[in-house]
Amino acid sequence: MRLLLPIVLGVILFSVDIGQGQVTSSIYLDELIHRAHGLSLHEQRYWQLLLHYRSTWAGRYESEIDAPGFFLSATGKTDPKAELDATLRAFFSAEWVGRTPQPARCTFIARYEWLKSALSIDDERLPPANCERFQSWLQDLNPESITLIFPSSFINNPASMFGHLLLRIDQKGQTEATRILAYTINYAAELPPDTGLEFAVLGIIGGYTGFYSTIPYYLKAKEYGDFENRDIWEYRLNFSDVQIHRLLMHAWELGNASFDYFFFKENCAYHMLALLDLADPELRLAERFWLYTLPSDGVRAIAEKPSLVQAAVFRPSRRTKILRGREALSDSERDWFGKIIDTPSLAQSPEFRQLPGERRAAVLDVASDYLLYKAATEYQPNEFASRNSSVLLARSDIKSTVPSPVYRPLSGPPDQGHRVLRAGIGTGWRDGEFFSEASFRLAFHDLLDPELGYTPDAQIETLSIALRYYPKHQHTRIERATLLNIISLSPVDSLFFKPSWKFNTGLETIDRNGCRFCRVGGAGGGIGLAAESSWLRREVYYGFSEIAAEYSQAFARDYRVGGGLSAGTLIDITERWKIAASLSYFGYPAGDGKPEWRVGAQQRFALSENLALRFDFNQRLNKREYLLNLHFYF
Amino acid sequence: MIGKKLLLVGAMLAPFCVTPVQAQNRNTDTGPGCGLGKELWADANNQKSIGVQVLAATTNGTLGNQTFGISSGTSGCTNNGTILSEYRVTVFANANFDNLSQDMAKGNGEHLTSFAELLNIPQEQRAEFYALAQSHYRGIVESGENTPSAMLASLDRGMSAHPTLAKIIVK
Repeated sequence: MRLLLPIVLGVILFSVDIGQGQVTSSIYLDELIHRAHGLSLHEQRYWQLLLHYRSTWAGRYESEIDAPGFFLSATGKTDPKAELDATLRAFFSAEWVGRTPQPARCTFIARYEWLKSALSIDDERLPPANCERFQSWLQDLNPESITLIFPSSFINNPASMFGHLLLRIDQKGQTEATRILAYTINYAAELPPDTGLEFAVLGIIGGYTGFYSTIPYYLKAKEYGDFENRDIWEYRLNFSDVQIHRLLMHAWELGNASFDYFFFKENCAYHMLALLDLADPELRLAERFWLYTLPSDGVRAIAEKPSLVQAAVFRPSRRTKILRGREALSDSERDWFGKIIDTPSLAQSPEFRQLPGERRAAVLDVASDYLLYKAATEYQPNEFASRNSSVLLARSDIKSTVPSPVYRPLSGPPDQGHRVLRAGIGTGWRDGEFFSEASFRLAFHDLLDPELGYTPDAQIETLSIALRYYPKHQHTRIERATLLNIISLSPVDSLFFKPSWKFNTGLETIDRNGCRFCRVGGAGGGIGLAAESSWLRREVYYGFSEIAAEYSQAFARDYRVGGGLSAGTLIDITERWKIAASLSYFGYPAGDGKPEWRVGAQQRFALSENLALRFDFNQRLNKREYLLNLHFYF
Repeated sequence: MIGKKLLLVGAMLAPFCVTPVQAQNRNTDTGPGCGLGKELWADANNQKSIGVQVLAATTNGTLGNQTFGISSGTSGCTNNGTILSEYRVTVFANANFDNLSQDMAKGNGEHLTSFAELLNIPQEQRAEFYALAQSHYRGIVESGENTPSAMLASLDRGMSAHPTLAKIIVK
């Protein structure tokens, strides 16, 4: 009984104390919310960037983030003010939130740090949380600087045709040799098992979800460099420690986010740029892209910012290493190379051993790279893997240190390539009358566009249109409209044997059967081979067997289906001047049966990086056309 | 197809997310996702399952995003998406076996240097380590078991027997 009173009093005082604590904190919360409203913090740009808000047509806001777990307010996706209030409230709550549960001040640490500074939050009244997981993650990353990574375009996979963008978080004390140990920040769509062609549709309409991940660079370098044989360009960025910390805090927050993945606009490039904007809001990179974001455009946008790029480093793919390595061998060494990849035991032969150690090493290194290339790209890798082991055994006997070769890129850096949108004005002569032409192409690069910065021998054209005015007939028309026109030439040689292929679909204008201006729509494709030589500078030759299906009122029975053969060449005359010529023959067994010969010759003279002059000649069924065009890239 | 490989990848790298159950009972998310990969790692002799299968994923697909997802515990892994330090050497050796073998045979190269970095070999002993690696290459190949684990074991033996490198332990 005597003890009861102190106990009861103690309990009462204790609960009053807690109650007081709760009342005190809710007073402070209200104070902060009030202060935030007074400063209109929810309208500030940094809050918009943190929550990825974009203004909509109706003048409202909508966040690009689709995961409900990213928002603390039920209306957070569309209401910046409610989200800010809810965020402040969450800071005071003991409840743990997030995909990996943590206190809100840790899950949304970038928000916390920004609000703390903007509202001068007092650590006594709202103590900071102990963000163990974030700190341990940061420790693992060990950040020193940030590098933008651009794996170049890979034409044999639609998702990779335009390249890719990711960030690498360089570590303290990192050297060129140990940069593969750094972590990356990568944004990509999550594909369910057995995804096939449906990627093309679902990827475009937002049918997949995109996530951020931190895969070690060595895995990425291997994926792009060894398996897909894509060259990588690394742009080391100039960010301060504070900026890097901001970027990483937000990346941590984004672990709770997911976005509907839109291949054209909200893709890897867009999301990497959005992260960089967080580090330095004045960059304003992501907002430049309203219709689509191409990785190479992203690189260009960054390279154009004064002093943002510290250095650009080229990381050759395995294929490039093989090509350059073989170039550096003498004729007799190349002979040895050819023999050793077939019969590795020759590396132990006395004749081979007569070569100086450094030269033997050069031959064996290229041989090993080639055998690993085959092992990675063929379906029966074991033969190549075991030949490689024999080659490396011989290599391990060469004890002297041999310096690693420097590999020159095959094509210039992507930021120096022509811009992606192309417009043209021109004039021409079509079978007896003059015309003027205006054209526009949304993306990307054709075989005659200036090559610097682009993967050689690859053409991807989409959404292009040409308008013509024929004064003699007082006739304006859409002369051509291309939905897609892709050509991939893979010059074969003794080492690399891959077929070339092409696909196109769109509208054209033909002069047939008395119809001077008849529209024809169709699709076609082909498979063939290409070869290259270097008599002048560089020449490429190709041959295709093709099929085509076309519809037009100019045809008897309105359609024709058939196929044929085509052959052509592309020749670099000087650095600025390139010419092309082609010849094809098509027969149409179904529909309008009349066969067709086609001859064409084109040339391009690059006036500057973003300006080129083109002259085309085409002949079909004895109708000739000449066209002179000025192309602007912007 | 591609997705199957992704699944393999996610599963393969999953075991490296396993941590001992933490005393802190707020974060007991060691779910069923971890542990599946052990069976696949056991198959490491077949280059195809490690090499091409592991990494031939579509570029724009994630590489086992559940494993490396930032701050996520989706697959039951509690390591925030980074590799736990005790697994770094093994993951690196397995993922880079072909490039690492090349570098060992040459006695230099970025993979060998990075490997030395992960093993915490001091700068002044690097040259000896590279020479040791090169001299051990023949033994690994000729033993008949040319695999990452055999390589690690061989290096471990070599280093323990080496006068100056003995102090560094290879896991």
